[in-house]
Amino acid sequence: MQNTKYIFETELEELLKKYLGDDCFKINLSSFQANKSTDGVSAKINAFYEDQLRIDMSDCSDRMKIDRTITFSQKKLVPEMFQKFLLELGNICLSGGKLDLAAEIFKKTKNIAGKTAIKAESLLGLADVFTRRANWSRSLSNIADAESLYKKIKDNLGTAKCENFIGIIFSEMGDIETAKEHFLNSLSFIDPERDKEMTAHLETNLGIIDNIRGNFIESLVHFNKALGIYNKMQNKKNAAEVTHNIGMVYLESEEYEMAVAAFDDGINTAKEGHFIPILCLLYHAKSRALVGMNALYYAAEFADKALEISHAIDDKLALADIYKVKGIIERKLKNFKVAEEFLLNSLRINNSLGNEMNIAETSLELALLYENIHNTDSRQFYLKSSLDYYKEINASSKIKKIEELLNYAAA
Amino acid sequence: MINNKMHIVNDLKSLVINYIPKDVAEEFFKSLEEDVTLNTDKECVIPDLDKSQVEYKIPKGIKYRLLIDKTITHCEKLLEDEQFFKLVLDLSQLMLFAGENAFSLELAENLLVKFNQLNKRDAIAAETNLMISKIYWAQAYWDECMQYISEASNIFQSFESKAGIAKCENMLGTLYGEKGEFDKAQKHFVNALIYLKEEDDILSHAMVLTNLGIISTVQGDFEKAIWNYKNSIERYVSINDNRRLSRTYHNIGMLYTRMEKYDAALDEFNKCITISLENDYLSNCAVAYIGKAFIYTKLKNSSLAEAYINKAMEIAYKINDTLSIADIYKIKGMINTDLENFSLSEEFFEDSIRLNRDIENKLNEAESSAEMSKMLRNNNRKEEAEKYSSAADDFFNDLKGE
Repeated sequence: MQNTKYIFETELEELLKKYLGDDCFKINLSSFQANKSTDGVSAKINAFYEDQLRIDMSDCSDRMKIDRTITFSQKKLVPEMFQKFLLELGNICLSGGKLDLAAEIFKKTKNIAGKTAIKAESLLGLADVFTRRANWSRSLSNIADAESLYKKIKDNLGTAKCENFIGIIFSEMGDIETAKEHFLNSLSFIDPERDKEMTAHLETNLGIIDNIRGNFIESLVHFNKALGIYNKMQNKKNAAEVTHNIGMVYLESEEYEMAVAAFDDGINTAKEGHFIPILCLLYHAKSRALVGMNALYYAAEFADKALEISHAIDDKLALADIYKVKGIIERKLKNFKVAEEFLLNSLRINNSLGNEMNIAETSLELALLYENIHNTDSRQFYLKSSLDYYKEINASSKIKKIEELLNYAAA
Repeated sequence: MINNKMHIVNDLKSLVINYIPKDVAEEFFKSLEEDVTLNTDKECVIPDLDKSQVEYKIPKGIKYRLLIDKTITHCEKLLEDEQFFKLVLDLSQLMLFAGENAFSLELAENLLVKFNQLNKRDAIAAETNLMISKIYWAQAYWDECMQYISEASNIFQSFESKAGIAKCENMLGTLYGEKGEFDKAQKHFVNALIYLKEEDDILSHAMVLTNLGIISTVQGDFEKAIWNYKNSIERYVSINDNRRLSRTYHNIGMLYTRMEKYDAALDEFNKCITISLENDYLSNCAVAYIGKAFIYTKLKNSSLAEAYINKAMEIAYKINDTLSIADIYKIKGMINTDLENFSLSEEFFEDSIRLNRDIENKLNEAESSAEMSKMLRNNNRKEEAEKYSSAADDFFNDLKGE
């Protein structure tokens, strides 16, 4: 009885007809669907990959258990302990990609918080939710509120958390210089011997900056320091995240086997702990590495799974990036029209998120696509706009690569 | 393969034991590990219609996303700005109907960013604010909902759009209605009708009538409610608005439920569900499933009630409909009372009351308190029952006073 595709597509087509008239037939809605289904893993994939891609997403029984636990704890705990409990529970929800529930819990905590520190922490929790949804302005406003509360009670670690968070947001927007300033500022508020976890977070973030700039060795030094701390603390979630970052260094330096090994390690940990948002990043990253190894069929499987998860957890940045990878895969398969559609989707979403770095990356991919289809003007346009960004952040290896491409065209 | 159910239980257990002594939490842990899906010890025979309804598979959002992203990327190049903005707003509405709240919000928020950059404060900007208010309303985010209604109202007022202000008044009424503040809600609906008097806006008119029907139902004025619903249905049919038409069938189902005409109520819920399943109107499905589960509870058919309430929970979780989730816990409490699982029943009522309190839904909090009180009284816990019944009575007496 259910025929979702038919009804929704019909509805969409009717809407398009209303706006475009006969032009609506220029849009071939089924071309994206010609690709593999995103809601399953292909039967042809090998057993190891299949196992990596099988993951239960959160369902309503989780929500029921969490609700029951909240009600139970509210009865058993004194208010302050209950609020601290809620903060931890909110973070568990974040790790599992349950953003709506996390927001609900942090909001509740904020409303009932007695102590300033708890209120500030709940604001940071909300900021985390907004950051994951790429809602920068609401995230920054919550961080500002939290920071002023921490400063009021002279809580240096709290202030450091806020500065670190602001750095993350700038880094997500591609403003590497400002991001680094905030990370270093954050560092100045903590005692690395005492505040070990925070130190590891900052090492990770500084490592990411170095990787973007092409300083691969320095980047690995930061990541390994962070990984050591996380492993000692048995913080598996952050360990999986750093493992992903280590893989990203190998990916950027085109050492694909090493990258895949790191991603596999991360996938293992993330699956074990059910860290869905990190798993999404790892699937996406592995897809990129598989593209590098020309294993396009497998790359598509991982990209599709990452796309499905990114939509489910509302991770717009990842989603835009996955569209880019799908575009690259289609370009390599010589499906240039579909490739262009994916890349333009990626560019549009990155533009709306204001993510300069991803805009530059997607522009570079579009330039490569236009080279394939001999559209010289578009190629030059996207190469130049990409180059502008990389010059701004001083990313030497990328600048070199793009200049070579531009010179090749000039010759 | 990873068992997700155990994951969350393990996470919760390791968190709780940091705060609550193990021996205190032990019993709770045990019940948390159990599957609280009912085992009624009876062979459950589900009629074909019910079977097709509870076996509904929720569509995956990513399928919508792929098509809509592609559509937007193309149309941005093909359409004039104004047309493009309207299309994106329509798509946002479409995604809200489909229960894709986050995506719907993303589309509407992106529009607002553009409008702010263009310093655009016209009808489409106001409609976009109103759209966002609806998305927040659907998730019981009252503050955010109010904020966007105010912005929409300010814009509509700046160019004296009566039809626009009426829409805002209707939305304000809806917001207060969900919080159980029915006198305020009614005032806003009446205001909306006044603004619509000289306007030829069939849809807005129908929506206000539906909402007045809901208020009349709550207040026990059933004749008036029927009159309002019939009038709104005529209008929805005339403009072919199936989504709102089916929602009104649900509302009539609720009315018959209040009148204890359960067969008639089931017919109306089924009408709502048939249309909603065909079109994947998830929110309508969730509320109508809850309506049917409630009736099956009253008819002492626990298995069917459980089947419907579980499906409703699946949908409500997917669309983050906290109001419905709180209602679902109430019905789960009622089902467990019937099955004499009193401890679980008490827990579900407590969940429902807490959640309703968190989202400030006074009517539902009172209803859950009343059910809790009934269960406690039957278990000779009269003192505890008294506490809940007096809280419920206070609310219902106030309502009668209104």
